[in-house]
Parts: sequence; structure tokens; C-alpha cells
Amino acid sequence: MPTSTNLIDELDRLEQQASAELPHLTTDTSLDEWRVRILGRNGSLAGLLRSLGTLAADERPRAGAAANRAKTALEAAFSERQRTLRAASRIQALEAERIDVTLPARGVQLGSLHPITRIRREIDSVFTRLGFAVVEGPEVEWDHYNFTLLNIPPDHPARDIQDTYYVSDLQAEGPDGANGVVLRTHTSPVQIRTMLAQKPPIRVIVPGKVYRNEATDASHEAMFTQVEGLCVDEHTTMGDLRGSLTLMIRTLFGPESEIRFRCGYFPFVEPGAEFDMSCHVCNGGGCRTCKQTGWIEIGGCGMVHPKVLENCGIDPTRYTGWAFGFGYERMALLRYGVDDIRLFYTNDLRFLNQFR
Amino acid sequence: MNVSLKWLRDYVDVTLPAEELARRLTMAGIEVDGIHHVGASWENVFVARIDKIEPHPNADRLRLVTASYGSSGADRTLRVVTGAPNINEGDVVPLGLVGTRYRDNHTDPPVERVLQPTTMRGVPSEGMVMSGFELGLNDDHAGIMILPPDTQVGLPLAEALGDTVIELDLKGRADCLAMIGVAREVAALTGADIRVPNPAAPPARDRRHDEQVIIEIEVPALCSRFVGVLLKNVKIGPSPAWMQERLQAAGMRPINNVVDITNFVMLEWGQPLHAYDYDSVRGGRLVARPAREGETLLTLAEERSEIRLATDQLVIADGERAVGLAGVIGGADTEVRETTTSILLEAANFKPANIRRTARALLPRPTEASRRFERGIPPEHAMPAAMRAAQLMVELAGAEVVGEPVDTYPAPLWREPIVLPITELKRLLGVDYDASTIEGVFDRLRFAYQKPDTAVNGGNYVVTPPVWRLDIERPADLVEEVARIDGYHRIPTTLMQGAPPTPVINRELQWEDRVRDVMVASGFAEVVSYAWTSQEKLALVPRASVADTGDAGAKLAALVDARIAPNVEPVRIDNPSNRDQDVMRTCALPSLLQSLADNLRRQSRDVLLFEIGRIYVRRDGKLPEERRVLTAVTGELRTGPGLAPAQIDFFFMKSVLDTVLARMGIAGHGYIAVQHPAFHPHRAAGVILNHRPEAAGKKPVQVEDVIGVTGEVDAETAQRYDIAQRAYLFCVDLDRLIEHAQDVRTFKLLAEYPAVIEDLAFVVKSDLPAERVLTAIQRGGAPLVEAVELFDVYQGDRVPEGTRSLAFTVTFRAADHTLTTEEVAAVRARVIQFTERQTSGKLRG
Repeated sequence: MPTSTNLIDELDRLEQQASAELPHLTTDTSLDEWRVRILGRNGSLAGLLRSLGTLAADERPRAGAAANRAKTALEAAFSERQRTLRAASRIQALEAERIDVTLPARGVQLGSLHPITRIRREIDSVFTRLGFAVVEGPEVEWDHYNFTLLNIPPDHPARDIQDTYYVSDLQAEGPDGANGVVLRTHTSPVQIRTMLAQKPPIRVIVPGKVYRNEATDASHEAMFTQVEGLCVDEHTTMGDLRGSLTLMIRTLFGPESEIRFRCGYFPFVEPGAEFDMSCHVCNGGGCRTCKQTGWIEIGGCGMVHPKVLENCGIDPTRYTGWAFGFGYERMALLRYGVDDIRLFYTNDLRFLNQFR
Repeated sequence: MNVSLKWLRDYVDVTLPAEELARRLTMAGIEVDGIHHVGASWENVFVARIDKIEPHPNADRLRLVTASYGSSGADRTLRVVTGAPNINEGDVVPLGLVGTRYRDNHTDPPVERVLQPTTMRGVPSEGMVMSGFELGLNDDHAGIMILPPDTQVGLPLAEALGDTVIELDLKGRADCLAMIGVAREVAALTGADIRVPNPAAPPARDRRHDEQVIIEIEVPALCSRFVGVLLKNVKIGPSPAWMQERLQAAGMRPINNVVDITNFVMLEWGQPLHAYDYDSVRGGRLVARPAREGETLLTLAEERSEIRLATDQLVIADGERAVGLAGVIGGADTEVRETTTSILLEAANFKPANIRRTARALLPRPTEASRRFERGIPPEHAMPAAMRAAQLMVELAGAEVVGEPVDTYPAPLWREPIVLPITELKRLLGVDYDASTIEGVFDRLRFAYQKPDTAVNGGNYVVTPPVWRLDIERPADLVEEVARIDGYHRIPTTLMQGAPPTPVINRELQWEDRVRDVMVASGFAEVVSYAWTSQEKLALVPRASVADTGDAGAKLAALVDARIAPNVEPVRIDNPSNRDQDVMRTCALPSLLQSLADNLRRQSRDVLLFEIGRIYVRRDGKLPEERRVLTAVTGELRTGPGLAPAQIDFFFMKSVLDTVLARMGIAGHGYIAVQHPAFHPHRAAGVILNHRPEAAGKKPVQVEDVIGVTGEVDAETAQRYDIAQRAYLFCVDLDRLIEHAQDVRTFKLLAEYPAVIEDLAFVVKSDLPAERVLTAIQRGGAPLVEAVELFDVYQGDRVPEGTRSLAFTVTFRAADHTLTTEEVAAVRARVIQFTERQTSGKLRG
């Protein structure tokens, strides 16, 4: 008759031998074979447990406890080995999927907005926050709107200030009964169209392409982009013009920026001014960008000439108006440090990709 | 206008440094474009007297000049070799020592050189006697510059001739095209006193009967005043050095004393004058009249050319013929010559617009006179300028004035005083000026004024500007005067008060910008093309022929062109800068293909470009339509090692367009194969709104539904741009898309009941558009088919030749209940039956 002591010894031996085998098993198959052989229904452990029934009743509890310990220990060892093997195989599988993260990204890269578009959006946003509407108008325009109603009648010497492209082959009669047509030399005709169509208060900015028959060089293009602003109301002054321009320049170039007015002649404003901004490179101290003056010329502005208001049916004794204009290219040259205006229209990706 | 400060000091004391003066003038609206220090390069140049001239032993053309330049007894002598023919012993000349910087005109363009000791044909030369050109003073390089004989020998030349010239860029202020005008401005800005020459009439002898002067004005609207003065016993000769120096500083060439005096007075007063040879003027008569039909005039001096006159042009005629083009240029017949002894001097005033039109029509560039008349000069200056010139002719040309000047001034200019409400300054500028500031400015500018007094003038200033300020017409002009003299820095920095106007969104620009963002995110770089082009460049991209056969693809091409490349005569520019920029573009494709080609030529790769720009479409009776188009172009995309090739092809461009339209909230568009000569015959599509595939081939596409084209560029077209790779283009009418764009999205309830998702494949003829099968599935299963998506296209051994298998994922769903198995089976059967019938295809089992 077997004793509990013998059985316990056999259990210990099984546990030791079987556990010792586990570290040598490296595949799922061999591990599974081990499980069937040791822990299976007809396995070694089951065989020993069956002999529990042959023990005397008083020997059974001790041997039963030992058998449970051995079973728990072997199962734990099995699970442990299984986890280890699975982890190893997952690592292996992942290893096979290793990539070189420094290979280039797939698909198309980000494109780019034209620098003039970027500048336009920045400036638009300043003025739309001040309640200005953005309006556009034709580039092929009536002479009457481009010049005459702006206080530049035919044969006026101020027509020389803007060298003009003329278009005479349209079969069309303009608002003055004549057929003078030009490529607009500024976006001011849109101011005229606005004032003819709308009563004050008026706040508009007018971006758009303009054309001047000039020789091109690093700072002159025959086609360029301009923005003009117009404000007409009962109590607006040249101070408001200065304030609005100051807000714009500070938004683009920082809170230290200042606007300076110089007296200037434009037939459609009186008083008229050229406006400069304090040099953003040297903060007014003098440098190459500002030719040592501390100031950079930006554009023209002034109070809308009373004749222009009258031409548009607005009473100049009741309303005042101010207007300004400048080239986006000039602003972009300053903002991005571009040194040649012609780069804006050569459509060179090496240039454009710098404005992603 | 070039202003010599030396000359300016004749009229006003200038104590400020030139740079500060320039700054003040610029701030006050007289823009200074440049400051030139005449003589800055003359450190080694002295005033010298020529003591001896000897022939050169080895050269006929050269001479040896010994010149002394010692001052106060010091004996300094040099011997130089010169080829100049115009010098004599005793002449006072500029002498440059070794180290002198000079302009060398033997090269084109002239260069600056430094004088080195040299030997010429065996004789050493220790310096050089110099021409005006070499000194940088003028363009005279024919001979050595001869200085006035009383110039102090030994003086550095810079002390004798040095000057500072400021260059004014005058856009407005016509009165500053005169030294006196500039002097008045300087006086007003600096508080200095002004010295205007006294224009009193010089003593005159009585007129004899054969010395009559008759002045007539036929058209007072074109000539408001005409003053004539007769001078006799004139001795023509050179004008004095001081006058020549001044003329040269202003950029004019001295000619003779009479002509120089007229030019000098014009520069001083701004009033152009003309001197006629009285003995050539027939009948002693000058008439300002329109030119006669067919009349011609031979113009004077270097400009000499015969010009044919028109009847709206004003001439000055004598008793018989035109002798000058009024206010523009004189005639050769009555020109002052060396033999002239009698002068008839003209000081007149002409209508600016007419002068301008005449000068532009007849001459290549304006003259000094026409430049002044076209900007307007005060008629009141005619008499003082005539008197000033007469004085100088008496003084410098020995002339004798005959009789009273003849002054024809039918309607003297009357200018209404300007009423300036005291509130006007604050109203326009936002600045509170006190009375002393305002009145101080008026005083400095010599504006006459009444102080505000309620009883007298309603509490307003009543201001009469001086005669020379024709530009002051209105209260606003006076406001500018106060602001600019007191300084624009007084204008405050404020913002608008009161309620803002109702904000208005610019729908077009807003959509433009949203589309730009989509394009940029899709990989495209924005470009901006010139609006102008040429017919030849436009023709590089072929157009669909208009009259066409029954072929639907070709008909569609014509509709596409009507949208993006209308067949109209382009708008022509009269005066283009270049011959290849003489029309406004009617199509954007050539610009974009050119940009693609340019970038490939510059070795850029992955070139994806887009533009939102206008095309210009001629219309009857109106300005051209300026149609917004969105155009995109790409070449091939670079593929890298270890990467699946990202592919640019027709479908890439289609996906970009789909993305743009999705962003714009436009649904129901589609693509129909198009045969367009600019595109691959089998890889291009018209882009159609309100697309109804089920109507394909039955109903023609509506012209207003065609919005553009997308496809692979035809190889022959690409070749014209030297594009050697496959290129893809799309172009759509953005204005039309914006009309259809939807900003507002309407929420639909999320599906409450589960869907049944199944795959169905059909074998159809290979050339049947996939879209037709898809539509058939949708229609066959309506309304229970929620979505149909194509997921596989198979063509090969496992399907019959000439067919292909199209596999779709079909989503069945009912809005109000869960579909039963029976329902799904029924709808599936309907779908299969309908699709097989519609497509002549078979379900793939």
C-alpha cells in the first residue's frame, strides 16, 4: 500500500523534472506537447492524482494538499513560459516590420500661398476688423473713372504721374458718353464706383491688380497689386486715417511701429500726404533698408478732394473722407526681405516654396 | 527742376545744411529727389592761368601748355600736354594735378579715372587742363572749360565753382518750377527774408513809325495774355559767366546772351519767354491764332524739323505765316542769329490743356516752356518777366528798349477770395490750431486775409492767395497749407467714432480664399501670371473647332472652350511694353503651361501650380467681362527609394477638383469624356454641374452646366512648351462655381436602424462607363440603396474578352425600420435585374 510520503516524493520529483524542462521549450508545439504530457487528462500529474484514492483516509489530506500545490506550481510555470514565448515571438514579428523612419513622406507636400496673397490676407484682416468691406472692380476700366472723376481731367499734367496703357478697340460707350478705356493705373476707380453706388457711411478697401507702362527693374513692375482704403463719414478726419494706418503697420511690423505723414501731391486728395513707416529693421535709428533715414516710404494718402466727393454726388460740406493706397509688393518686399519685385511674377517654385 | 543753392542764395539766405533744407522741403511737399555736391571730386583741381602754349615736338595735334596756379605770390607752375584746340595764352582754366578724379568720355559709358603722371609722345605731362565734362559739370567735352578772366588764380576750383544742386521732383506745385518760387517756399519754411528782383521797366526811347509792334489774340480762351517788347541795337555775344554757370546748374546749355536771358528769366520767374528776330517778323505783328489747315512750321535750333500743324493747335504768326508753336517752341525763320540786332520779346500766357495736347502731338518730349505752360502759370507774371528780361538785355547785350511794352490782356484773371470756416481745419485734420498759428502760416506764405469777424464775414477767414499760387482754390487747399507749414506731425492718431457701417462680406473673395487653402493643402503652389499675352502665345493651346460633327465629345469641347477659352477677339492694348504683351488673355492655360515649363527648365521637380486669375472676355457695348478662373497644372511627381510611387494622373487631378467642389458645398457634378485638341483624346473630361448620368447620350449637356475641363495635356501641345513629361491640367470657371457655392450645411438625422452591406460585381462591356453601372444599382434599389461605392475593377482571363468586372459595395438601409432578410433579398434581386438590363451586363456569380 503506497504511503502519503511516497506520493509526496513523487509529486515533488514530477514538479522538479517538469519545471526543469520548460526553459528548453522554444516553440508553441513543444510547449503544447509538454502541457498534454504533464497537465493533460492522461498526463503524469493526473496519474499521480488518481493514486490519491488508494491512500488511507487519514493520509489523504496531507497528500491532497501537496498535490494541489504541485498542480498550481506547474500550471503557473507553464503560463509563465507561454507568456515568455509569446512575447518573444511578438518581438520577432514586430522586428520583421521595422521601417526606416527617415525615409521621405509619401504623397504630395504642402503647397504654398503666393506671398502677395499672404500680405493681402494680413491687411484685409486689419481693415475688416475696423468694419471695412473688401470690394473689387474691373481692371479694364473707363478712363472717366480711372482719371476724370478723380480730378484728373483729360490733358491734365497729373496724367503723366501714372504712365498708362490705353485700350481703344472696344465698341463701348462709357458713363461720360466717350469711349476712353485704360488698364486701370490704380484701384481708385473702384472707390469712385463705390461712392457712386453707395451713400455714406462708407468703409471699403480695394485690393487688385493695376498696370503702369513703366520700365521694369528691381523695384518696378508694369503689373502689380495695390490696395486702397476709403472711409467717408460725417466726422472722420486725417487723424483717423493716421490711426488706421498705424494699426495696420503695428499689426504687421510690431507695436513700436509709427506712421509719418509728409505733404504730398495727388490730384484726388486735399490735404494730401505720402506716408512712411518707421524702419522695422533699425527701429528708426538708420540702416541700409531705410537709407539711413529711419523711415520707409509706403504709399500715398489724404482727405478725399472735395471735387471728387462732388463728382460722386456726396456733399463735401457735410461729409469728409479719407483714402490711402500702396502696393502689396512693396509691403511684401519689406515683410519678407525680398530684394527684387520681379520675383513675384516669375512663378519660380524655388521662390514660392519659401512661402509655405 | 534742379536748384543751385548758389543761385538760390541770390533770392533768400540759406543757412541750413543742404540735407536739412532738403528734409524740410520734402516734408512740406516739395520732394527732393537728390542732392548733388558739385565739386566734391575736385580736391586736386585749381584755377590756373595759361602762361605759354608751345607746339609738341612729335605730334601736330598736341600742344604743350605751361600753366601757373600759385596763389598770393607763390610760384607754382606745371607743364601739361593737351589736344584741346580752344585755349589761348592768358586763358583762365581748371588745372587738375596728379590724383585728380575725372570723367573719361573715351569709353562708353564714361568711367571715372584718377589722373596719373604720363608721357605723351615723348613729352611728360604733369597734370591736365580740363573740360566741363571731365569735371562732371556738364556734357561739354569739345574743349577746355574757360573760366571768367577775373577768376582768382590759385584758388581751389571747388571754392570758385563749387555748388550744391538739389533735384526737385515736382508733382503738384507748378510755382516751384521757378527759382523765385523755390525761394519763396524756403523763406516760408525757414522764416528768412526773400529778395525778388525789381521788375521795373527800364528806360525806353520813343517808338518811330517804322518800329511798330502789333500784338493780337484771336482766341482769348487759348491765350489769355500776350506782352510784346521791342529792343534794338542788340549785340549778340556770349552771356556772362555767372549766367552761364546758373543755366548749366539748372541743366540748360548756354547759347548766346539773348537766348540765355530768356532762359534765365524763365528759370527765375517760371514764365517762358521767346525772343524773335524783329527784322524777320513781317509787319511788326504777332498774332496768337489757331493753325490754318495744312500749315507747317520749321522749328528752331537742334530740334529743327518741319511739323505739320492741326487747326486745334495754337501758333504765333506774324503778318503772313506761323513763326512759332505757341508756348511750345519757336520757328526757325524768326530765330535769333548772330546778325540779329532787333528783338521782339514775347511773354504770353496759354491754356495749359491745349499746350499739353499740342506738345504731345508734335514733339517727342515736352520743352522747358511747354512743361511750365501745361501746369499753369499766372498771367500776372508776363509783365514782370518781360521787364526783367528787358533789363538784362539792356545790361548784358547793350539793348535799347523801344516804346512802351504792348500788353494784350483782354480779360484779367479774377480769383474769388476763399472763405475758410475756422472749423474746417479741425473737421478735416482733427487738429485744433490757434489763430496765431493759422495767421502765421498765411503771413509767411504772403496770403492776404481777413480775420474772422461775425459781423464782417460770418466768423470765417477770407483769404486771397498771392498770384503765383494758382493751386489754391478751395478751403481744403488752405487747410493743407496750414498743415504742411506748421507740420504734418501735428495730425493725431485716432480712430473713427460712432457706429461702424454694417459689415459686408465679399463672397467672391471669401470663396477664392477658401479654394486657395484647399489647393495649397492638396500640394499646389499659387502663382500669379501676367494678365497680358499675345495672340501667338494664346494660339499655343489649340481650341476646339466650333462647327463640329455630331460627336458628343467634340461638341462638349466647344462648350468647355466657351467657358474657359472663349473664341472672342482679345482686348488689345494700344501701347504695349512688348509686342508679346499686346492683348489681355482670354485663356489661362498658356500662362500655366509656361510656368510649368519654366520651372522644369529651372530643374524644379514635383511642380504643382495653381492660379486664381481673370480672363478678359470682350462684350458688345460694355467693358470686357473679367471672368475668374481656377487653373491648376502638374508635371510628374518624384518617386523615392523604398516608397510606393505616389502617382499623379488624371484621377489625382479629379480628386483635387472633387475636393474643391466639396469645400464649396457643390454636389451633383460629374465628368464626361471630352475630345479637346489640347488634351489627350482619351484622358480628358468636361466638368459638369447638375450631372445626370442616366441621361447620358439621350439629352445634350446644357451649356450653362459646363464649368471647365480636366485632363492629360496632349503631347503635341506639351511639346510646344518643351514639356517632355506627362502633364495634367484643369481649368474651371470659378465665378460660376461661386454662384453655386453653398456655405450653409443642413443637418440630416443620423441613421437610426442598421444597414446591410453587401458586395455585388457585374461583368459589363469594357467601354461602358463605370458610372452607368453605379447609377443603375442606385436606381434599381431606390429608395433602400443608401450608398454604392466601386472597389474593384478587373479585366483579364477570368472574364470574357472585351468585358470587365466592376465590383461595388452596396449599402442597403431603411430609414424607419431594420431591414428583414426577405426585404434585402427582394431589393438585391431588383438591383441585379435592373442593372443587368440597363448595362447589358451580368452579375458575376
